Amino acid sequence: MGGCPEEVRANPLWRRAWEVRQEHFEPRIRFERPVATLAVSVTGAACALRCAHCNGHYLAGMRRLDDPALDAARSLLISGGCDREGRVPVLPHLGAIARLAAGRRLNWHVGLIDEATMLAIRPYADVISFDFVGDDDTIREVYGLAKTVGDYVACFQMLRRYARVVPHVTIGLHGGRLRGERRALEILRSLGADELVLIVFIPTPGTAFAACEPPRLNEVVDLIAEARVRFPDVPVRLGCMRPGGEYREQLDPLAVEVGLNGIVNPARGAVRAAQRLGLRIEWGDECCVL
Amino acid sequence: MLRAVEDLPDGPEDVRVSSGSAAVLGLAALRVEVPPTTAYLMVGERCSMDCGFCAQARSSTARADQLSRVVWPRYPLSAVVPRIAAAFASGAIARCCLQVVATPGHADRTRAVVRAMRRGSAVPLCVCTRASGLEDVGELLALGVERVTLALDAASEHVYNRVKGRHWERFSGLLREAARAYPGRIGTHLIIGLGETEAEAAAFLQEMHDLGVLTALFAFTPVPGTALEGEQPPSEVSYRRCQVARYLIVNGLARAEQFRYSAKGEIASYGVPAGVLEEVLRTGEAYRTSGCSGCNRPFYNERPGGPLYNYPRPLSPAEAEAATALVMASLTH
Repeated sequence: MGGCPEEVRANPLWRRAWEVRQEHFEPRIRFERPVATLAVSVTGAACALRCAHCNGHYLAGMRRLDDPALDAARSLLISGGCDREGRVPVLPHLGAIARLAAGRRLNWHVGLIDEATMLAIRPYADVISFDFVGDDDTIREVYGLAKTVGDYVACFQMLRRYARVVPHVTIGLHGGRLRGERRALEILRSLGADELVLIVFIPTPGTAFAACEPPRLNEVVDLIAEARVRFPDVPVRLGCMRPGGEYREQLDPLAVEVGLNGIVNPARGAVRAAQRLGLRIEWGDECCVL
Repeated sequence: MLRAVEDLPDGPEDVRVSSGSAAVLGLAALRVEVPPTTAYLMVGERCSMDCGFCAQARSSTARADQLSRVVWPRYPLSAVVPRIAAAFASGAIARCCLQVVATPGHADRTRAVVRAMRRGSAVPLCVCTRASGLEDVGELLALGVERVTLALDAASEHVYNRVKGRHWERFSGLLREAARAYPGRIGTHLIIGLGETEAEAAAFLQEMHDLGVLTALFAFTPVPGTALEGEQPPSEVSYRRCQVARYLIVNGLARAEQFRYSAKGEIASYGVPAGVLEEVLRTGEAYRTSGCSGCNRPFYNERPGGPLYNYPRPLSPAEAEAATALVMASLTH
């Protein structure tokens, strides 16, 4: 594999992942700087779950539905805090969302909604981003939800009957340790998932996992490479939620070198790696699933 | 099309497949009005228990291949597993559910079926069984079963004694013990219409929810050949009130203690303002089949002509409105 650094060449799994990419995809990669998409929390900063990895932290940075800045956005991520059942209560806000949907594309990140809710949002759902978890203990201990992997499977399958659904798998969700990620990939593969976004646990101040380390870099790259090999002809992207700084500087070029199809807010090293590997770079400015 | 193996002796490698599931799995050429989204398998036949409502009960004279209203032809397990894997992959089913009939050796046989299923597919698996102890439950979970359901069926001891025989204390004790030992992994069934009051049903649903036990509601179905064949199914309005009670309880919108009841123990009020209640019920989700995710068990306890006690599919706005109107009109405040 011309151009790849020694560490990738020396790792059979990583090398295989790059070969799989070469076999199945054009030499192109997509990088996103998602400035044209604004994230909206329909519940403001409120969340009934207050999960161990987030505690509502990431809601605070989102826009409210009445924020005039939304008018200038080309697309929106419709998200928010969850109720006790892991659902974002979108129905009370459907009127406001429907008005914003005119002329915009909407990516919905709404958790374990029921079928009636899916039917109601269907006219406005360009895509649904669905967090998929492959471990019952993680669902209970991190999300505090009395749900199981089967509930996630059933919801994912139900949503897919009505909309394009892109599963997201968080590597290291259980406080930086790998628990159900491989099972999640196995299930998603057996369900024939046709897109995949991988994200990485971020230790976040003010949360139960604030003192945790992000998952070990080699384990993350192994998992990314495995995903590449297991989903040979499915676009696999590295999503926006992952640690920044030095960690990202190290992770992103390796993600390119093990054959991912796209990265959001890539570190500079990823751009250089793509150039070195002869990949044509396409830049986008919206949510990576839009 | 695979031939069912009815004419052969009951082999240890066979399972019964509900006829709707058999159609979805491509085992039987059968047109189904609403396809099941879970594959339902029955392990064993002719139960050593004697529940009055059950076609599989010891003294029942109903067909041996029947459970509730449904017929379950028998197929070799080796033919069923790959079809379940394929149906899961295609999205046709979201779950596989084993209904275990209490026969000698049923625990070993169930474990064998679970192992075969686990080797063949990642499909979420649940098992409804008459476990003899906590170890039985733990073993199934350790083999990769997502949820074990211990079906109490009756809301109270007196109903249980009348319909299922003695041992309420032993079996309900095991359910509580299992719920504490395996949080989130235990389920139970409640059959409405066995002579319990709605107050008893609501209290039971609340207690189970507080224990972390997933509840599934069934409507009593008089099956010919069973001890209760001559009794009436619940009225639609009574069943709907119980569905609403369950929906409010499991979604944390109300607690059974705040409900008010008529002198006959019928729910008269949920203690929720009418406007709020109507808004919550507008989507019709409360009237869908309850229990494990992905489980819709179409026409398991209703005639295709209705009433549809458990909707196996999303309700139309008109259906949701009609069901809610029925409930609202029956409440006194």
